[in-house]
Amino acid sequence: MSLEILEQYWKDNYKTYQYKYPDFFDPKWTLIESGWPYFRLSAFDNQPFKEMHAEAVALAEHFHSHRDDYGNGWKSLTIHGLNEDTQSLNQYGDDRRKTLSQLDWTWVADRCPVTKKFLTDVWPAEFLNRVRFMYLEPGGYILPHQDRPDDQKRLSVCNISLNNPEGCEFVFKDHGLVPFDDNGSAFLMDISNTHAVWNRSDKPRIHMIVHYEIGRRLRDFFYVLRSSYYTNRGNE
Amino acid sequence: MRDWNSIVVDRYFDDIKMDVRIGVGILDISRDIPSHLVRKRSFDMTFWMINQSLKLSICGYRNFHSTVSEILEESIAAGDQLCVVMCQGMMALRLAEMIRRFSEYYKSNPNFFVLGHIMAHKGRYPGLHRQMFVVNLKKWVELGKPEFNEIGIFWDRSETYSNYTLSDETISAEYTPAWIDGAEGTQEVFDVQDGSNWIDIACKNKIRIDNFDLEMRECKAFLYPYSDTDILEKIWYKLLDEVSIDDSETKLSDKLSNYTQRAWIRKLAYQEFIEKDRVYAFNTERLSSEGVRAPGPIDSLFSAAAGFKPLALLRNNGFHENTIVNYYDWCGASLNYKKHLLETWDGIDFDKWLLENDLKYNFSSTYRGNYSEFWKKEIEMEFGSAEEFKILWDRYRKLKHNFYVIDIVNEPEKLFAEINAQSGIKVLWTTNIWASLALHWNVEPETLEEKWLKFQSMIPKDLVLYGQDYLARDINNRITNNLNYTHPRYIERWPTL
Repeated sequence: MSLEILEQYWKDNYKTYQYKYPDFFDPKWTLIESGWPYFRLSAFDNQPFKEMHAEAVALAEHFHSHRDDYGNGWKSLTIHGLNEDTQSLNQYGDDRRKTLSQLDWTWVADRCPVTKKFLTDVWPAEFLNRVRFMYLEPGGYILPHQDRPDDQKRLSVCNISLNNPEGCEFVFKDHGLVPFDDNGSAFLMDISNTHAVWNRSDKPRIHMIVHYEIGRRLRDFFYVLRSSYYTNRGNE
Repeated sequence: MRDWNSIVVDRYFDDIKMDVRIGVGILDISRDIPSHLVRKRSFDMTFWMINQSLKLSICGYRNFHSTVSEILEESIAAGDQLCVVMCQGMMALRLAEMIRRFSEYYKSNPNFFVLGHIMAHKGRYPGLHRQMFVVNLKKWVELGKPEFNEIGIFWDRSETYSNYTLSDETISAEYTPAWIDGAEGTQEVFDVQDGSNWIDIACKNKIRIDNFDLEMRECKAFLYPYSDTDILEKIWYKLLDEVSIDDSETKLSDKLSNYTQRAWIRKLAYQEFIEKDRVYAFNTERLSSEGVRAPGPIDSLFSAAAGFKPLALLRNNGFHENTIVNYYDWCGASLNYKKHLLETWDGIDFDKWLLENDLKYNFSSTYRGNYSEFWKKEIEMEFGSAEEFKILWDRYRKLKHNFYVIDIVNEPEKLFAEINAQSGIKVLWTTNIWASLALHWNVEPETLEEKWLKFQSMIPKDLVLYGQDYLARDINNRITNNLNYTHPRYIERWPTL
């Protein structure tokens, strides 16, 4: 039944999203008003994603099964959070501030120095919330779902492909395929759009999902966004 | 920014005696400027502004840093009491006057923490605009050397900041109060501005922060290099187009959205436009401050065609009936003016001659109403009396005069060919040609330095020198003491986009 859902979803939504870039970059428009389902942070294209991938692969045995209800072969391992298997922060009680104050690097970060360095030195936000490696086995899938309600449309969470083998695809409903790169690529995602992932390759796919709060690094964030905007536009 | 009269404000500025040690540093905001050209050139020009005060020895340069703390630490290490932090793009044309005012402010408020542009928009915790602010370094240390935090936005987290009181009086807009002071209690803040944490710290420590007053504001203009950067990049080297184009559809400066930015570009474009035939009836520098440099009476004077400084040089060093006066200028109008004056003026009541000939020339920094005042001042402060000047003028008029159209920056060989063709005691005065604002706006300092070094290499050893090098320093001192001044280099810390 799940495969039938995926096949129909792929048939209905598999396409390439057509961007239209205004002449001048406006961060607010880009993040909130553009309606773009995803945005490549191409400023990060030269980050050591392969090394980060190797660090994650070395910890494969430690990953925890994730969302069995709508995923299959989907696992996670938390780098920054409450522990190595941190779920949505809202599940840890009503006092979100208290939960946030308890966030910290897990032992995973100690085993992944390149990844940690990227998150501390390169990632343009003052605070990290939950950061996880997400592992999708060959043949694994994540059924169509949305992580935010329709009225919270905006580019927010960052999904970084540490690898993305050919045959593994991330598809947004109505918007199509997200062009993750097997060599590594970072995308801001609007997860109020329904999305699904299907790994029809013979290799595991590992991404890293970064939840964050920009805080006082707003200009650093805009710099990355602006650099990426003009690079992306030039590549169109 | 006020349209200062450079004759009035520049000429006697070296009278400033500073008893407060002040450092000035440039804050690197290149990250926010999406153009390498605008990043670098706005840095170059901000340093040019600072350099006008460095040459007067009223402040020290504390370099180009990416954080406020780095600038302040360097200033402390240099022994400063105050530090002026300004972003690249700050056109502090009258920084010397600002420094004088900052010094006075410090003496009246020795326990102040920071003086700057308070920004108190409704719905946001107030902050300090980073374009320029002044820090009392002793107080900064007492307060624990707080970082100058940047603008930020929070949704899950927040800051707890002191409540505050704003003055009813405002300076230039409803969001720029004259001062901000602490009040009882605290508030949760989700939207912070640049320097909001300094406002909070000051409020918690019962230190009032004052805004820049109007007099201080009129000494500078911020170029806002991160605003409409693409237009700025296109305009930078094509200012004349902004004057010659009538069509507002194609006139780029009309499309600049920031008022101050637009005003600065228009001002500079207009200055460049009128510079091509501008005539300096009066000099913008002192006439005799350098004293006697020639080993005997001058045989040949090579002089820019400006003001009465050539006469002062002749008088101070001495001259004889066979002395030759050689005027050079890139501008034919200046040479024509000199010829005209020589032929028609009797050395009495220069202001009246100016009034009669006012429409023939585009005189710099003067207008009909102040000819009399300027001439009176010229006589009293530089030549002793009208009678003494008349005697000098009559001797001068009888000398042989030559006139050459030469751009000494781009064709120095022409100048030196004339100099080398003459003999005896030769004196060259280059005024501030190498250090002018318009030249530095249009030519990068690296290129100017190359041109300057070429010029310098052509100077004969026996040539007596007056004037400034490309860094506005005395040429004679540079060459006599083998000083190799250079300008600070722009450091690119952010990859070019």
